[in-house]
Parts: sequence; structure tokens; C-alpha cells
Amino acid sequence: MAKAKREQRPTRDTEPATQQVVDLLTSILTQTQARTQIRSNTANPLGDDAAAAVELFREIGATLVLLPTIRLTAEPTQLNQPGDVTLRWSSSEARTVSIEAEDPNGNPLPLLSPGEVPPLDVKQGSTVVRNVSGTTIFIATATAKGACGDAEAEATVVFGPFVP
Amino acid sequence: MFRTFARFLPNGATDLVQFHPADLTAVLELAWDRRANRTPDLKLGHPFRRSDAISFGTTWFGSKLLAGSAPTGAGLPIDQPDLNPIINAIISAGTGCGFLWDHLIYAYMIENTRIYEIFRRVLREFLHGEKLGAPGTVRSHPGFAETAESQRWLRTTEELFYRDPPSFFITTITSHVRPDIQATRRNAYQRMFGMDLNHGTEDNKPYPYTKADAANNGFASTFEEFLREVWVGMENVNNTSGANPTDDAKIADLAERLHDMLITRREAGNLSREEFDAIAITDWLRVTVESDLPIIQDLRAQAASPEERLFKIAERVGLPAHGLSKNYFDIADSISRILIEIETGAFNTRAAAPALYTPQGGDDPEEAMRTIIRHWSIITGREMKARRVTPS
Repeated sequence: MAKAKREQRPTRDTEPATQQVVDLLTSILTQTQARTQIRSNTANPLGDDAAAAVELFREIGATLVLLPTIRLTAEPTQLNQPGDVTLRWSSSEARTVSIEAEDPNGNPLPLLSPGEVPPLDVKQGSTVVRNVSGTTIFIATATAKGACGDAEAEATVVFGPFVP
Repeated sequence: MFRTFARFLPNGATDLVQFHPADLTAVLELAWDRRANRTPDLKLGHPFRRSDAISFGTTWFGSKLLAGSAPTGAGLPIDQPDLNPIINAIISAGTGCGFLWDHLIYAYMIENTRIYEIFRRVLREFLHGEKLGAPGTVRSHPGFAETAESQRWLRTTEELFYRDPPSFFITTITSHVRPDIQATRRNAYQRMFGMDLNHGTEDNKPYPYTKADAANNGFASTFEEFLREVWVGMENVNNTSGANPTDDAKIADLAERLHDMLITRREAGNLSREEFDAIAITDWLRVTVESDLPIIQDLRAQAASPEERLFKIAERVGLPAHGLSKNYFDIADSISRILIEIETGAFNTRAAAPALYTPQGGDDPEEAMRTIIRHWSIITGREMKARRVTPS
């Protein structure tokens, strides 16, 4: 009988819900007693003045380095028939990088994923442009972190028979 | 400054050290001419209006010299890079934000590594004998004669930074009145920060220079108090309840005191030319130790980091670099940017103080302050993460 009672008695191990409450209360009590603070994982958002100070800090950094840099290469640079072209870019001190394409007359050409590259690819990246079928000028533009200016790089793919 | 210029060259610093000293002098002059000068209503001395000294390019003489593009393409001899990317970047930036150079504190930090004295010994040894070997790692080019690249670095370094510059240029800050360029820099450090470099002459005597009465002797103590208060903010930035000892008003007050003392030294554009020159010198030497350039190879000082290269060179010339050179290199950029911003007055209000201790995803004041607090504590031996103990 006594053995059965002991088996029925709730224990800390067998009642997880109760245990969670006990742990929470213990933690609050411990923190209060230790006079430590309760913290969130994220800092409070900045007010206008502080946000402006952060922007100014970035602008100073961008001004110290003058301009972003961008480099662009196309592979291959010569096509005899419609084919794929790999574009590779690398940049420094850029906030955004975008890729566009145009024909020799300056008319825009459709790209599979034109415009801004994903933020993770700003420093360097590559993409394949399918079925390039005419002479194409690829233009990569890097925008500075501040308001100081942009940088551009071009890579041209010539379409047609190779002329030495 | 020179690190910035190197960014625009295909091979970075390797190309930069190939230029003729005349070209680099012209680039420095152009950079000064295109300095940030955003609005005329900013007080002279403000980071975006450092000086209203007449630009060389606007004089009759200067307009003849700084005109057009630099030679390019086939007009260049082998291994002489194209200067135009640097020129274009300065001109392009000049029409936008303007050219901005680092704060004088950058030069102070880099010079504390003893890099200037060490490279003077390098020059002395190479120019007086062959104790360090014959300078000039030769590079072969198909169809061309060999080029000795270190010879170009030696000439440029000696002409630009270890002799009196020619008249009229912005880097000409020596004269009969102040003949010693090192003494001029120490005078600027003393006036701006109330501090001398951590080393004296090569034989360990105090370096003779003129000490000004009007100097910011309270800079270091005020700055340290500022760092301590910002650290308190960093420790408590995520508090949602409970005690929060962060004192934004005190941070703003200390920032304003720093702003006032620094800007007072810059009244009417004071010290701007000295600062520009000091940054040019120290950044050139920093560029030299940032990679295994031909001169580094000639000195057999190849290494993984700037301080390790400097230590190796120091050992070769028998003049030790500062043991904390890594900390001096690492703090220089962050403290420069923060002091420039302090001089704008951006942190003078209580509402702006959280920017100094609240992370904003990188490349922000909090990140810079964290770097400064860490290295300043090591450099000074005074822990900025601990409250100052005041004897009762």
C-alpha cells in the first residue's frame, strides 16, 4: 500500500508543466535577488538623432574611401552562335550592385535576373546569361555606401565570326 | 589616403609603389584641391570644411600643371601603371562628397609603432651600402628588360617623406622656422591630443620639439571617461527592465567637450595642412607593410600581417618596433572615423548617444567604439571596461 502511494506521489521528474513554472519562478527570484537586469535579445530601435549619427558614420567611411569600386568580366567575350555567357563581378565599399545589359545602340536587353544582385553577392558573384544572340554590353553599377557616388564597369560580348 | 588610392589600381599597392614621385605629389595636390568643402556656412575646421587655403589648381601656375589626363596606354614605359583611375576617382568624388582624409589621430597611432624611424633606417642602409643587400627585386617581362621595383619605392619614399618637399605644394610644411618634419608632427599631436609619441629619439632621449601652451591636455582623460560611459551603455543596451546605469546625458556632455577642444585647435583651419601631410606619410608606410611588396621581399620580411612584417624589418635594421604595434594598427581606422564624427558635433545631443553603443548590423559607431575600447585598454594598460575608482 505504502509502495503504491509512493508511486502515485507526483515527483519533479514526472510533472514537466509544474517543473517549468518552478524553474521560471526560480529564475526570476534569482535575477531579482542578484539585482541583475532582464534582457531582450534585440536592442531598442534608434531614435531619429541616433539613426542620423549612424548614417553620418557610414557616410564618413564612404567619403574616406572616395568611391566604391566594381570590376566585371564576361566569359566568353566572343560568340559565333547564340550561347551562354558567364558574368563575374567583384566590388568594394559598395552598398548595392546591379547588372544590366544593352545592345551597341544603348537599347536595354532583357536579362534573366536584371537589376540588383542579392545583398550576399554584393562583394562578389557570378551569373550565367543564357542564349546571348547579339553583341551585348553588360554594365555593372556599384552604388556607394554613402551619398558619394557610383562606379560602373563594362564587359562586352561580341557576336559574330571572329575577325583577327 | 594611399590605401584609398591603391583601391583604384588593378594590382593595388603593387601598382601604387611604381609611380614616379612627381605623379604622387600631383595626386596629393589634387586630393587637397578637391577636399570636402560641402557648404560655406560650415565653420572653418569642420571635417567637411577643413580649410579655405587657396587650391594649387586655381592658380595660374597650378592650372598649367594639374591639367588634362595623365599619359596612358602605349605612352607609358613598362611597369608604370596608369594614374588616371586615381585622378578620375578624386575628381569624381570631388564633385560629390569631396575628398576627406583621416583624422590626425590616425597618424598618431601609426607613428607610435615606430614605423617612421624604422623605415628611415631602411633607407639609410640601402642608400649607404649593401648591408641589407642590393635593393631591387627584379622582374622579367617578355621582350623587355628587367625592372628593379624596390628602387622605385626607395626613390619615392625618400623624395616624398624623408626630405623637404619643393615649394608651393600642400605637403610643404618645413621651412627655416620649422625645419624638422618629425618635430612638426609631434607639435601637432601635442596640440591636438596633449600627448607625445611613446618613443623619443633613436638613442632613447626625449625628442626635441616645440610644445605649445594652447594644447588639449585634457583630451586623454576626457576620451577615457567617454569610452567608459559608452561601455556602460554597451553592457546594458539590451536591458528591458531593472537597473540601467547608462547615462546618455553624460555621454553627450563628454562628446561635446571632446568636440569643443578638438574644434578649438582647428580654428580658422589650423593644423589642416599638418594633418594632411601626417596622414600621407603614415598611410604610405602602412601601405608598404600591408602586403609582401617587392621592398618587403628585398628585406626578407614576408609575413601574414602588417605588424609581423614591421617586426621583421625592425629586427633587420636593429631598431625595435613597439610591441603593441598590432593594437596601434587595428585601432587607427576606427578612432579616426569616430573623432571625425565627434568633430561634426553629431554626438553632442543626448538623443544621439545610443548610436555609440547600439549595434546596427555592422559598419556602425558601436562596432568602432568596441574596437577602440578594446585596443585603447591594451595600449594604455587602463581597462576601459571598468569604472574608474576614485579614492575616497
